[in-house]
Amino acid sequence: MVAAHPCADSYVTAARERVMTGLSASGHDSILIDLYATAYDPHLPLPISDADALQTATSLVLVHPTWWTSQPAILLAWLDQATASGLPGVSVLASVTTLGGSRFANFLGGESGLRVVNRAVRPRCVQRPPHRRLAFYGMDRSTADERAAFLDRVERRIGTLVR
Amino acid sequence: MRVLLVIDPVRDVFVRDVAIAAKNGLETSGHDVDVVDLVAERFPPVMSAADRRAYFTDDPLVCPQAAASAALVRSADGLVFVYPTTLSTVTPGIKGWIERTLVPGVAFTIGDQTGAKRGMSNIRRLVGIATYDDHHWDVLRHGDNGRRLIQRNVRFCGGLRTRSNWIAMYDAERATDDERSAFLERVERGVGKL
Repeated sequence: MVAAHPCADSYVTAARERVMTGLSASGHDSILIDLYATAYDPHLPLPISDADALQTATSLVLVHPTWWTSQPAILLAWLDQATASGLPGVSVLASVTTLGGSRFANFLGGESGLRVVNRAVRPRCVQRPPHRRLAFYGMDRSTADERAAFLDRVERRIGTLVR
Repeated sequence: MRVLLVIDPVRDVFVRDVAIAAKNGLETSGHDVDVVDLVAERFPPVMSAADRRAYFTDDPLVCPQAAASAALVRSADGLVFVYPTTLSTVTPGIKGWIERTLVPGVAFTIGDQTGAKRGMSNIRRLVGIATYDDHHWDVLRHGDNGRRLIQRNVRFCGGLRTRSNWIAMYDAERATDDERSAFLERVERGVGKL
């Protein structure tokens, strides 16, 4: 599981915690790579610990906010480096993400984040894994209830998405 | 016209040549050119916690490098991006520059109820110059997320009459020296006319 949000008190970080809870509740082992906590530097080669984690991983879960319609730059850089190996063990790609605008606004905006995974990351993976996505649209105008409901949904569903 | 040229010549000497050709072309046709070279400046692509916390305040530009870039954006009439396509989109360097420089108050403003509003009406011309390792047909099939980001999402922040153009080199990985020099010539001749 790869998380990319700079702030520890953010909603995305809360979602990350719920992903962890959901995965362990459904009997999966998970390794967390927090790109900010480990101070991932796009100018350096991929950290050896990340490469090791990818060797044993059967699913890759990305937890990130959506900025300018796609993944944050730090995650794009990491994905570019990490997928160079073809990720032979990975049989599922999953994304948990938040989007400020509505579903319609994101449709007009082009949904680059979804396309980057479907059409650039996925073809690089040896197994052509399916991409499963839990997305929270309309974050900017959401109510506290909606935000809580999405976190519950993430925890409940994530275990069924990965392999 | 005052043009800001944002270049990210990562891992690729050729992209630097393309950027030089673009700069020469613009200067020959009488434009003033400012250059932000993300590699030479070691522009940090990563939005830090400090950047993020300041993002929705009145003073979102806490990083001096992003503030310097934002000042160039505000004084520019044209914006040109030069990059090699990475994971079907712009390089992480360009994406990071957009995230950290085109912040509220520079590229758009956020109202209480209205959502984002365009804020870069000074930019009258937007140009992307990109190289692709894939064949043109594959780029069409897989979708061009870099072009979409610049010609749709960044373009939205420009004025109603902002025009945008695209200069692309497909199949760049397999290009011969002749094809490369032909492309450099095309950039140098073409970009000034835009």
